[in-house]
Amino acid sequence: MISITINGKEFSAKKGETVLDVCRREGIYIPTLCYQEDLTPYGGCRLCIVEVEGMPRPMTACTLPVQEGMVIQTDTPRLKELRRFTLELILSEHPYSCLVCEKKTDCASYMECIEKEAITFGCKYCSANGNCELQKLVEEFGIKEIPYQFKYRNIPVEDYDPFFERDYNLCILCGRCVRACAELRCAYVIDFHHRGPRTLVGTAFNLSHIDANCQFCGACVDACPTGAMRERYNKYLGKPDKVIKTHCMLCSIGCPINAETRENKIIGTTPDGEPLCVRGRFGIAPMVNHPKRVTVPLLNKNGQLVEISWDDALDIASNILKEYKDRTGIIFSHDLHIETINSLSTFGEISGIENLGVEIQNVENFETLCLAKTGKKIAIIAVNFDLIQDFSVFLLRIKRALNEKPVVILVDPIKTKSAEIVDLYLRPEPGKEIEVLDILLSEDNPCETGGIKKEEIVTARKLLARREVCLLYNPYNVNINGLNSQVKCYPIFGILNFPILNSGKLSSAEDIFENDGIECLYLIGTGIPPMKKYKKVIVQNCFLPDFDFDLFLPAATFLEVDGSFIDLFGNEKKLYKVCEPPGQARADEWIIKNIIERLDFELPRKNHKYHPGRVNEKEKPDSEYPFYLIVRENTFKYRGKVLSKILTGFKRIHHDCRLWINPVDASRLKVENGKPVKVIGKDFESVVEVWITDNVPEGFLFAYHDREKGLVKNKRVRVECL
Amino acid sequence: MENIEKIIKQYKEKEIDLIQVLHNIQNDFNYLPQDVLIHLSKALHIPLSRIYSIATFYAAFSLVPRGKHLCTVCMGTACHVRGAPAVLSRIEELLGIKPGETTTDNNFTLETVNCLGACALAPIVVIDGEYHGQTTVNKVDKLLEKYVRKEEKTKGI
Repeated sequence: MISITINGKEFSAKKGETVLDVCRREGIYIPTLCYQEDLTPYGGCRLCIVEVEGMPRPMTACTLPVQEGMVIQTDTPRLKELRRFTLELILSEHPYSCLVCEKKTDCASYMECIEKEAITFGCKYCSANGNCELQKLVEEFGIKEIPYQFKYRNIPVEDYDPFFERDYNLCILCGRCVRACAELRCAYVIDFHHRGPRTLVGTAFNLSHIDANCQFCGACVDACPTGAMRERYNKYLGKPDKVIKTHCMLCSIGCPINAETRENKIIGTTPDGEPLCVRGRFGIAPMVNHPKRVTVPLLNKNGQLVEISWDDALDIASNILKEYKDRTGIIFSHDLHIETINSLSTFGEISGIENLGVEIQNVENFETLCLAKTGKKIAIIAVNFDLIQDFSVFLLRIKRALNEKPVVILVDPIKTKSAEIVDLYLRPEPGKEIEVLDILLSEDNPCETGGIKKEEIVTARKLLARREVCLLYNPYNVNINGLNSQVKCYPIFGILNFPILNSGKLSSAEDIFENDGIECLYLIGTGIPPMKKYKKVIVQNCFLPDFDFDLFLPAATFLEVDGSFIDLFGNEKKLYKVCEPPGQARADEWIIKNIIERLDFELPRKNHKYHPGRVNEKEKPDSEYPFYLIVRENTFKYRGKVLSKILTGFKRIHHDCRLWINPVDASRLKVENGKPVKVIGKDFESVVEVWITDNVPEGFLFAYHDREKGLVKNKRVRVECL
Repeated sequence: MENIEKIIKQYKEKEIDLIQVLHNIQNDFNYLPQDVLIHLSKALHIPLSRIYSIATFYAAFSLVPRGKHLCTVCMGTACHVRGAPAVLSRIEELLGIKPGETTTDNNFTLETVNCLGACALAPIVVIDGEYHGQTTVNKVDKLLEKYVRKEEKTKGI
């Protein structure tokens, strides 16, 4: 323990703490701009200066480690004068005139004078108005006038990337975004460039953020103390009036989020202690408030959709279910609340509807990953999934839990975003992943296997040496049952509530479709199109499906209902109601409960039959179907709706609605980037937009799982131009 | 590209600085080409943004192709008071370019520096690493003529 004196009072501090740490802990106020708790101190803004006895000039508190017997003053007239001077200099390059206008208090409600400021010179129209740290400091220091001429840098606003915009004219070069990108996300997309008065924050060669491989996690936006970086969606929606802590349900990791609302409407989500990915940061609010969301019950009357009341809708639904009782199949999505899933099984018991199917594939020998400290050094082998795109926060979580960066080796025939970030990328021929893994993990002499060179195996083994190997795989993308090596394997996928759903009591969606006795479908939270003609189809969801239905019941999203779900690690996470469901949308539980009340029959419960999941056997090459289509799980989904289909930003960063094709194949077939083509397999035919990329090997096609388009499993296909 | 591999190997073996690597690349290419820096970033596992940051920080590095001869005029305080602006404007006139630009025939690039630390020789003009002290407008004419001739000779005019 070190004892120091601050403003005449004695405090004890730990070795290694900075003066600012101690002051923050003890509630002594020191103004800062470039300091952020979870980033390394930078000492750039010079506002946190303090006077230390025995030192000739003021020191920055954020970079000053405590020493025994230090005597510190944090609030002397000299410091006040210096801080004020520094802030004035900072403001001479940041549009300020509205900040210091003497009529600003009244200007917000009515404009009392005719002297208007140009937008570029003030904060009246700045999106950060009310959230700006500079604004707060000006208020606090009581600055009424800036003695320096204002210099507008006239940098064009960067508004060409999805999700957030950048106006570096407002940037004060505090470096928080640069450090957040590097330290919190290990992404290194932005950095300072040039120097002196020309210094700017930006990407290398001024590439767009998409080209610079940005993950769009929003760490930089959250770090910015001014309006230089701003989320596009809520740019002009104002300050939130309420912030509620809940969890994100858009993937299986279930990160904690702060949901910000204004006038009972969600306007944004920010991270709550843990980092977020693009889905949690920029996907939730636009999806929940999406203009295409349906919020009234709809009835299909001879091809015309008519709005009806809930009473009528529930009557119609219960009448249909009564009529088709044991000829009804229910299919629900994995991302419902536990409470809804439970009420569904009660529903099954009461109504006698035994055909209850869930849109997942069963996985045997399931073991959940635990991020607890193992004490050993870890090496991760990721097989056939995009660690960065699908689960960008996952590596960061592991890094935080282990307190070190694990070695990561990626084995994947498709070159995904992760390939450039991992320590080693091995690209085997498609279908040879298991062979490569067996060689990699065995002690045998290394040899060339499945497209991997001997040297690469040697390098990989060097990386794995003396480390505990964890194999992460997506059971939807690769079957590791054939693996001979003894290694810890953990399935990583985007399915929520897996321990409940994988219990073997539930059928899969395929089982329901294959059951010829079923004539009526009740689809809850899934966008899965019926594979054949059904007499009645009831859909309960947030967005309209792409197929015909008889009745649509508008459901609430996870932000509008209290509840819980189980994440990838087997933990139960709580969800809290953040805002009221829009219009007449209702919670799934409410709808199911009301239907049950209207069903007045009882039938004895029968045992559910469990059908084991089928293994896809690989078909032989065929001249008629020259391509092998690889299909992977799409984790960018909510209640069966692919995010790219409703939000354009996601479409630009994630090519999940497209068919990936190698440039060689593309030029042979004369297909153009972005143009639609016809994919024909033995049992399906559909039209998909192509994306030409060498991320997929020659002779192969790649697509994300899309049941609407028939892209459901690996198969041989041919491609025809339209 | 062969040279780059050599430079990268050197970097890995001797652990020389990134700045030295950039110098070596600039010596080879006369500037820092974008594709070479992208390759370098992948080979050395250094983020491209960091390399770009360093390459733009130092005035010694150029991201655009430079002329065969680099003409640097010192604009430091001592040089300034002893007539550097006049020397500079004469050179601008002779070459037809502004500081930071390259002549259309790719023979000359004109740059200014803030101080070369040899104020006793002010005003200084450096051409291809050769220091010419106490220059005047007249001296500059002769000096440049020498280089222009040299270029004409190599062209065989």
